[in-house]
Amino acid sequence: MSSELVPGLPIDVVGQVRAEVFVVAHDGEQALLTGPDGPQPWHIETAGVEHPLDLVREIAIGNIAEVDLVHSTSWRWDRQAVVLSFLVVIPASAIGSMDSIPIPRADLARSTAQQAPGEIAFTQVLEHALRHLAWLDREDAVVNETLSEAWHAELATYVPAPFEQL
Amino acid sequence: MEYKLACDCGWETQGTEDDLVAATQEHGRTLHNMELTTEQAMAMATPVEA
Repeated sequence: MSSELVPGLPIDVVGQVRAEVFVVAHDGEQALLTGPDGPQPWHIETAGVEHPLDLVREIAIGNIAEVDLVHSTSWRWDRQAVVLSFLVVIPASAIGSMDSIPIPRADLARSTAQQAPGEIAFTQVLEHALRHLAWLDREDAVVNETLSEAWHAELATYVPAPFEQL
Repeated sequence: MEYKLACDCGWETQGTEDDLVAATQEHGRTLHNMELTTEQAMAMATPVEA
């Protein structure tokens, strides 16, 4: 299990709201983390004029072509900006030449009674994102109908959790 | 003279100033939704030793 912290944003990504995207797929055997930047968080600048989810969807489609589901999963304060995390679920056939790794499991980052966690690893953000997807899979008919049987089985291993601050 | 540049996402490029700037601007636009000036791109570049 990786304990790597959330990697730094590209040096010139600026703005008060940033998108952090996790591109995931299921090949029928295991859930995979992938993406145009490789199997890591994919950072996208928001200009503040477009809904972040619309922006993430458009850029994901522009770079990956086939996208099944886009959903916001959490937010946190990091480097003087609000970081919105998104899951982008793609079909395994869309992975193509993008590097991928099995999705690592992690314990969640825990807040104190009155303060956010001091350090958050990207694996913890991803763990929470999939717990949120597990919750949606049970609560949201559109999400449930969109996800494959392999995803339903995979998400059954996650503790369902609503959207929250990390 | 050639230059090289590495984005924090892991993407790298190397080439002449014109090629490096064009590649970096394309990368920033398509993957990170960023519009970079020539000056911003070159500020992140380092010369490649001959």
